[in-house]
Amino acid sequence: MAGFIGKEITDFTVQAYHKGTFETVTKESVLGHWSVFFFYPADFTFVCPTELGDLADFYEEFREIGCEIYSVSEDTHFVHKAWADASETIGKIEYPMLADPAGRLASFFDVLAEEEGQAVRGTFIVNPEGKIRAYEIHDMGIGRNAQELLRKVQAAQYVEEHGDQVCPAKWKPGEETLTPSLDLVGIL
Amino acid sequence: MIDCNQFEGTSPLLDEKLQGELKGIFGKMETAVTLKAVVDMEEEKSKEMALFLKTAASLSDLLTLELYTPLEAEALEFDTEYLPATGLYKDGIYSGVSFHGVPGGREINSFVLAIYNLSGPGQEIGRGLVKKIQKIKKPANIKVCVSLACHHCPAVVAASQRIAILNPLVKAQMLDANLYPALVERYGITRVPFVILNDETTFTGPRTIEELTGMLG
Repeated sequence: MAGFIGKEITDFTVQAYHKGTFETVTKESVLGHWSVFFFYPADFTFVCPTELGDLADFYEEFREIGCEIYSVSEDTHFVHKAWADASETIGKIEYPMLADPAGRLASFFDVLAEEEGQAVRGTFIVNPEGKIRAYEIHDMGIGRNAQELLRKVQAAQYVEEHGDQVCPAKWKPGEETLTPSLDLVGIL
Repeated sequence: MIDCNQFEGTSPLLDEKLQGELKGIFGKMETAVTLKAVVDMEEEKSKEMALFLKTAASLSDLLTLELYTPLEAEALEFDTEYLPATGLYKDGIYSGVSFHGVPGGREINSFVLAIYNLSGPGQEIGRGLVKKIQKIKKPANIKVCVSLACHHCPAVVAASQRIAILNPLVKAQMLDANLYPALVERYGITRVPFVILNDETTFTGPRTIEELTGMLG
């Protein structure tokens, strides 16, 4: 497989801030259900709360399809708590916010900008067996879209269940008819 | 009926090379097939369909085209809710096969196979399977929603239409779902092939002719 696709996630143990409490999250915690690892550069920045808040707005829908969200930055879990206490947007987040100050997760997923000590905006969709099924990596200033991420998780789940014998359809009313592509060799 | 001669030239969808290939396939036809199409002359897609069919029909003496307006559609036996629509007839009898939208892209394959299978000799098929298909006792309608780029779709269309050709109780329609947003919205179609059985049961993904026959039996 190319890049990260099909790669099993590394063993890890990190602290997390989760709905007002601290907890430990390990590789075992994320097995058995679909997961999204959502890296962002740092707490207390401006673009980050926008996309983390966007993700919080769709969190219930992710949970309905059996997918957990793990946001990850290189801050500590104490800083996550301080940010949640200070920001209304972050305070409403119900998914675990992982703390990766040692950079172990960011290094594994190859999203660590070492000079800054921050993660670039990487998103990784991981199946219940801990294997990466889809990912995207953006530069610092390029935000992401939670609704599109939800669609990707659903698509990954669909392919896992049904295989790749279907074609995703992007409806474009008014589109020109495709040039015919005759391919009946061996059929007639 | 609409005068087919008002459509001049040939369809840009069927270039000379493709016309040559189609001529070769249509050269194997054994009996005459009539393409009856309902086209709305106010709609560009209908005009495109008319010229496509006219060009295709010109490639064999055994292919005839008849064009009808939506007002004349009631007299036809096939579903004309989704226009433009083309029904295939042999000996004046509706075959149960119809196409909704222009069969461009990958669907040229199902279109050619439908003509070939209706006219004869048709694709090889086991006698046991033919008997199973002919034993289907309940009327059935199979709508196969496709996108023209889908490489899994033509096989499902061809399989369902083969069943329709062999059993007059079965109707099988190809629908280019891109042209029918209300249908896409009603069934929440995001992937193709998407099959609607008797306007009730739906499923996504390929099925063989044996599997489809099993569902209808």
